Amino acid sequence: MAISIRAMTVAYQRKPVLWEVNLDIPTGKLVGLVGPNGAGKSTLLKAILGMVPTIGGSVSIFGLDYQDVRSRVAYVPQRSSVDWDFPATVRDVVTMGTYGSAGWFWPLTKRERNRAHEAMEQVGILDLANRPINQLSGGQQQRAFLARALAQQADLFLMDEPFAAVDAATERAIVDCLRRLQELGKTTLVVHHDLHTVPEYFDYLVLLNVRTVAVGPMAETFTDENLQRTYGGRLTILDEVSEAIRRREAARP
Amino acid sequence: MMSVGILFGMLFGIHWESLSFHLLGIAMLLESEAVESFTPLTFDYNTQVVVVGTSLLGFAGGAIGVLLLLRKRALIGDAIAHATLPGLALAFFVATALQIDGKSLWVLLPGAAITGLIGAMTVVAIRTFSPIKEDAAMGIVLSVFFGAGIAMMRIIQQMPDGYAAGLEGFIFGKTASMRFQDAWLIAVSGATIIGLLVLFRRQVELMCFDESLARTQGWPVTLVDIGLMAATTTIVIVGLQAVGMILIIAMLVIPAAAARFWTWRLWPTIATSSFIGCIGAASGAIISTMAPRVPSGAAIVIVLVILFSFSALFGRKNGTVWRWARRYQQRRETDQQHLLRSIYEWLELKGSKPHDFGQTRSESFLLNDLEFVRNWSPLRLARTANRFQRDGLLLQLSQNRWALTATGIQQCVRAIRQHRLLELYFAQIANLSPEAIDRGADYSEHALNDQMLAELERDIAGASIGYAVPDSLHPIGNVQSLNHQSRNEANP
Repeated sequence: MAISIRAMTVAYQRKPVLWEVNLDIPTGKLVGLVGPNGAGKSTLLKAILGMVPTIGGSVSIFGLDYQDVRSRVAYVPQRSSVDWDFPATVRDVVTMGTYGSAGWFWPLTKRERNRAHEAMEQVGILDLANRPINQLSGGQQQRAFLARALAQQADLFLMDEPFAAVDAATERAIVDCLRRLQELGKTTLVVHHDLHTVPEYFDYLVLLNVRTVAVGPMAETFTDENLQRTYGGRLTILDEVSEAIRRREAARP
Repeated sequence: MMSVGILFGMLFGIHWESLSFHLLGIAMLLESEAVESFTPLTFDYNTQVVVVGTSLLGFAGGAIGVLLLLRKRALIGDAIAHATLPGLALAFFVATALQIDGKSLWVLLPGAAITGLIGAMTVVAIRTFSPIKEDAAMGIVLSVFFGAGIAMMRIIQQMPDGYAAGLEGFIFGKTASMRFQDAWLIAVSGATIIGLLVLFRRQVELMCFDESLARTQGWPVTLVDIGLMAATTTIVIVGLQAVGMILIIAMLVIPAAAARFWTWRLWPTIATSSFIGCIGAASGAIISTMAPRVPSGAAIVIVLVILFSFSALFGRKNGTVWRWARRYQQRRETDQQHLLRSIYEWLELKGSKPHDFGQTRSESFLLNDLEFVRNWSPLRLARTANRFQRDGLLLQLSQNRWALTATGIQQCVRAIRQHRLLELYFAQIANLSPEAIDRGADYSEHALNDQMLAELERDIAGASIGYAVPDSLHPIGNVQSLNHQSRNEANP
């Protein structure tokens, strides 16, 4: 198993964002993580990486604790999470992906530079290598982020909405890239919004709405019934509970 | 002193990966033998140490300032600085009570550091534990601490024997009152910060750009962040004497802001900022040493602002002058293309369109008539036409009568072809309405390069057109004033 999650719960200010999530993702799959807004998709990725505090539950990656396999996991955050006015070129940003394996102090070697070069080549932004990142279009920014993750040469990739508001060329480049990663035996978990392209892009599906609604191979999981359960009836009881908590706190003197 | 500048200037030429060694080398050079080797003007040894120490402070401040600006934390330095005043005063009280030298830096600076840090932590606490935002928290802390400090300073001033003499130097900065050991303290602090920054350059870079990446790679982000705050506090504290608490924020912010006009990469930005900070601090210290009544903080800020204004105007990457120049150039080129097109359109209307098969001079036309196809002021028309005459595209036959030369015809045909090919493209491929077509083509034709033009020719015109100029898709000129039914009929 690439990722194995047991009974994980995450809450922001008493409102549960993830509730007793159980999830097993086999190695080598190209996985779509799908659910409505506020379903906790981004939070799930962050929780796997230990970037948000969990209330309970456990995560194991390749059968080990995340701390022990850190270098085998690459994360592609949402594009908007960084300031693109930062003074750096595309090459600088992509090279950052190699810092994890470059040691503390010593200058980068040819190995790191080559890895950055190859990563840019794979997503087709080699001609942008020396361009300042504040001159990139949204799609180019996304590709730079993808290249940065590739430069990490990880075995597990977690991507937060890489297809959000990108041009057609970028979408194609990302899909090609995902396919290539799968051919190399890598596992990829992608937060995705567009239900039309889900069956085409991925071969494994996680439907999430605070709880995991369904997990499994695309053909069995991508059914009307499952989608209805994910997007249709909200988990009303949880909503009511958190609303009640909020009201009680507001009523306090 | 200029040799320091030249030394740092050399940094710009070096390969950035080996920045660490150069920086360390220069820092060590400055600490050891360089002090003797500089013999500028008539400065004594003490002054030289003060100037070198202050420049190193400026250097470190410039570097740290870039990081603070990128993390949007620049003003925390200001809060720390203002919060040091009560600490200085308290330390002075305590030392006087214990009958120690109350003006020794070893007494004053720890006091300043303690209240400075309390101030910074109060800001963080207010922000975290209350609904008040950071800017308001900063305003509260800054004024309350500074006010308390001022009150205490009044008390000190009223103490017998003029004890306070010298303390006000911490508010506005007074390098003249700096002693030899003080300068060394500053120099060593500055050099240490630069050394640490060079050592942990990648961790700092990651933290400033994308904390999530730094965390997933397993770097101790919180520790690096604390280190950055510690460096900020150190610069503020040891810089009190040289720049003063009110203006020390300038050492952090102005060089960093100025550097953004010169480069779009992190380490060059830091190097430039350091260089600017170094020059500013050094010149300020020299001015203040030569004229002890000028507060050094003010002198430093003035020099820094001059450097900033120069950068904002002439900076290679974003300087206003270059932007204006580029915009002017663009406008000029656009005007030229527009006029060329108008001439063609006018001559076409008159039934004598120019062609570049052996025609050496086009039919003549009146410049005023062009107003019909292009709604320009006569002045603008004349100016552009005159420029064309200088470039050999137009020929003035009489007062108002002009004609295209052979080169003019060539360029004219090229401009109109570009425009009409684009119009065809928008009509056929993008499916725009006729009114939008002209505007769309007008907007994009100035960005066409030869390769794109070749693609347009292949995709749109194909073999059917060859090198000819396609007809216009819309009526030409001011349709309200004159009727051109013939054109309208061609394109229902």
